[in-house]
Amino acid sequence: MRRRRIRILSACLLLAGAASAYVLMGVKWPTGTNMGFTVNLASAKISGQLSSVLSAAATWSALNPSGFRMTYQGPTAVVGYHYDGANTIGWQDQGASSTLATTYTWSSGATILENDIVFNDAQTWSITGGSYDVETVALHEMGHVVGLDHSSSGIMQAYYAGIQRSIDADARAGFYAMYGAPAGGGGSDHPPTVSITAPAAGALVSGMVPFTAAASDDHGVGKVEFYVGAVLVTRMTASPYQTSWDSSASYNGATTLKAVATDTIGQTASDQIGVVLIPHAPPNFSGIKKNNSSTLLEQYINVLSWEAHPYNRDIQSYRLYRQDGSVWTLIGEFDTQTLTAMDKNVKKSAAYTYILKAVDNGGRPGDGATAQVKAP
Amino acid sequence: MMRKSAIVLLLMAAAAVSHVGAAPRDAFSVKAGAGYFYPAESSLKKIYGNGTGWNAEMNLKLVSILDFWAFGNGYRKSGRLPVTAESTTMRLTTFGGGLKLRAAAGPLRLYAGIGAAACAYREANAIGVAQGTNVGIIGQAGFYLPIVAGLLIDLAGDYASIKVKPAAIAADLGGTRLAVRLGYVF
Repeated sequence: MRRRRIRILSACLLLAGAASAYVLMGVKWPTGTNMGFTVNLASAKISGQLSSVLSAAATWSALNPSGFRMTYQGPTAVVGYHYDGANTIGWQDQGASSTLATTYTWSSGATILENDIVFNDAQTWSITGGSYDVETVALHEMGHVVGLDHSSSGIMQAYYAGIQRSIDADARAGFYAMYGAPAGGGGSDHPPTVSITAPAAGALVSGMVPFTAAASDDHGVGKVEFYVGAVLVTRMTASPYQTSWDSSASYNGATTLKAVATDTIGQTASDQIGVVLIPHAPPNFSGIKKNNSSTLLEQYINVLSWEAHPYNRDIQSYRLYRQDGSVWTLIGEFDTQTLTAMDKNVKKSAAYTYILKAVDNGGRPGDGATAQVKAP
Repeated sequence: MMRKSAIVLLLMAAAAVSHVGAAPRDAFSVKAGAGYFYPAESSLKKIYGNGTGWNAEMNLKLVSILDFWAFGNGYRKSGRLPVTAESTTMRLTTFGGGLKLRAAAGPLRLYAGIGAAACAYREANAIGVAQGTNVGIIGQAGFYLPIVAGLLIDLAGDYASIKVKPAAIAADLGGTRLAVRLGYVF
């Protein structure tokens, strides 16, 4: 039995790529293997990483499930790497080195017996598109799991070069060389198509924004990912590809929405549009009726106050409206430093309804905040 | 109300003048000085506060220990509206007259009286202007001390109640006033 340890990925960026071909380690799993694996969820500083790991496993498994695939068997408490017959994935502090993750491979002859993947918990990890992206690194390490060595570009290059959540043609060709192409021929598989069906390009949006896409592929769509800017909103593996973007925690203004479809062999297609997120409603908008009377002259005033929304930017003013019957009357427009307003000469015993809107630099009013001022 | 009070005041003044020619010494005095006004109306006190103003009066002996008494005083202050903090001003000018009883206690001359008071008021601010004249009642008590050669020093306190309602709000523009005056007794 030959045991082999292989350090796979370091933290340095690849500065230049060259034309390359896949490189095989010389060992592989028997064709047709369904490799079970467990994940140590408790050993990482971050949480929620399981979905990223499973997504990477699904991407490799989708290449040719009958040739090789990976199946999640549940959590494990094992930390680090051990030749124990169990393929584990976990996090362990490996010190402040440039290593992001390491795949340990035990083999006998040309046959792999076991793989353990250890992510370096001394690094900073992200599952939402930041660095280092768990899914990208997991996809790379799983390339070693199937038997691919480093190449000079693509997912199997030795250095982290940003987010890549699909298997490039070179790595895919290496996989096919070891485990065969799927029925119909992986090489003849056409890339998927995807288009965003809602919202419309250039639309003014706010609140919960329906975000839908239509995707298709000649051999099936593996997943569709929805992005707002560079942030992954959700990942869907089955049609209909519909989600909602909660825009309340996004800055107003021009925003890019992108949908990325990945087919069963990792080919991708994307569509992106620009929309405008109108200003958020100012929070904590409220009002109270106050008596401003002097000794002989009576006056009641509705005093209104609000706060600046933390995700509003480039706001030029606030517009305050009062409901008079079925008509909204503009009471005033205030600069962004003003967070209170007075509506004078209101009736003592009447109730009033107000709407406040932030207006961006393009003159676009945002969502309205409503406040009611009751009689004292 | 106001017309009736004015007639009363005129009758009092006529009675007083009819005695001028026969007035013995101590029968006529004038006093002038400063008063400090404590408004009775809470909103007046809250917005404008207590305050000083001019104060003057004359007394004319009618019979024995009974004097006719005429007076005037003023109060003018500015303040801020309670919510908007806009500037507001209040001016009160009060004239009136009545009858006083006088008594001697050693060198002091004690007196107490009651009468009618006409108050001309004007409040102006961003809300608008309220002005007019209303009549109320006033009571006064005090004493004076002859100093030398007809000069006297006088300390008095009075309380007036003058209710007005120019618009939606009713208020009592009276209050308590303490006055220190110098005078001359003829």
